[in-house]
Amino acid sequence: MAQADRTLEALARDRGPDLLAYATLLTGGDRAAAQDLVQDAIVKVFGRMRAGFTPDVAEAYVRRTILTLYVDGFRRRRGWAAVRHLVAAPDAGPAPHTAAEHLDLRAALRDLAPQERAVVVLRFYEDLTVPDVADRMGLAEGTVKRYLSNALHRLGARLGPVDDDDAVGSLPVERPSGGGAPEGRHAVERSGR
Amino acid sequence: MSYDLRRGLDTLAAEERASAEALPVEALRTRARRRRTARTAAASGLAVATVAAVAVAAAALPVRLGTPPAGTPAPTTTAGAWPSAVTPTGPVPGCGDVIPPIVRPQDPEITVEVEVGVPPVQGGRVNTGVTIVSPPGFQVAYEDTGVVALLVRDGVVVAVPDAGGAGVAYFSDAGEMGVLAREPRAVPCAADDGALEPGTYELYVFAELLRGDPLTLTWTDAMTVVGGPVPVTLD
Repeated sequence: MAQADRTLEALARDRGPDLLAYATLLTGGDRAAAQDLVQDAIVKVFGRMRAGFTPDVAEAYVRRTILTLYVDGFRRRRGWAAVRHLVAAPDAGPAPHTAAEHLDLRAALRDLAPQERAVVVLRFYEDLTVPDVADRMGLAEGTVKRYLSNALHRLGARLGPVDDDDAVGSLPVERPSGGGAPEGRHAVERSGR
Repeated sequence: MSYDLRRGLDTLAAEERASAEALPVEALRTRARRRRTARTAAASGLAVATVAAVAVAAAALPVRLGTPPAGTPAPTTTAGAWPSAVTPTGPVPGCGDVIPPIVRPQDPEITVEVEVGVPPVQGGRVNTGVTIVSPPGFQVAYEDTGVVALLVRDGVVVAVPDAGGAGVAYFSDAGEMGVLAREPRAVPCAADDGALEPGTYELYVFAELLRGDPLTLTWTDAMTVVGGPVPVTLD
């Protein structure tokens, strides 16, 4: 499997920073967790690799596997998430919209539920369509739209109005009246699953 | 004016790319090879029952030790005696300590396999892969900070890992082998310039295994197991 080793090396060297950036967005800025995700994904892909993989093809597999591991991870630790939600520090409120807005975005992403953050990254960073996001995450399109709606609402609270163009699509989205309900509903959803 | 989320994410990703640490290629190669070997063995019917491995799948979460919060389910996994394992008779040694006597049962059920790469130490990092293997159905967890690689000379610890580590927990998921994701940084105990002298050393790995409820990450008890010694020659 010398070819596999060479492909792995080329992928890790040339595409490693991109893969880590992608994983870090998914983990809400947790670089250690992102390192683990990327490394585990590479091992998983190259642990069953067949001959003929190019770095480009392998990267596509690794990106998919990063998402799969991430999604599996937060599904697996739902129990912990529910507990953590109960003891989380109160929200400090909207951050000021300054020149260091990327810092606000980092904090805002961290404040999202894992599923919400994943759909935001897939929709706005990977530029996938809502059906594609649903396919990647194994969710119904309506669920993806609900996550996007909730996420954009929460991001908007920190960052100001978010340019969401057609992010949520044309299907009806259940929006809370008065704009203040997502926190409560969100909390119930997170701790209820 | 609305916030451009695409541009914001691109900017954030560019920052992360610029500051990204290099991936440990050699360790990844080792892990991938091991996985391929295990898969090949399983596919060809050569898998041995005692190696029906357990795994250590990444779940990047902080580990809490102690009493579960009210309302959380009681631990459901793996009560009773621990499977047999190679264990130390004393605490995990530090710089300058003598390695304690090691108890080595015949055919231990939990093993810590240690592989050393080439070169064994590179850029201050011990170039090693660690695999924790335990019997099928036995759920075991560890923190990365609870797995310590020690370089030993003449029975005395001469280099220890640095204090880094994110407290990441890994828990078992039957059917796969677990390998440490990170390479520990070796900090020489005595040398002022941070370099290890050329010569022959032994590499030991001490791992504190935890068990309890992987869903709530609440652990009820722990056991320290040992891997090695593996000879290491530094040029």
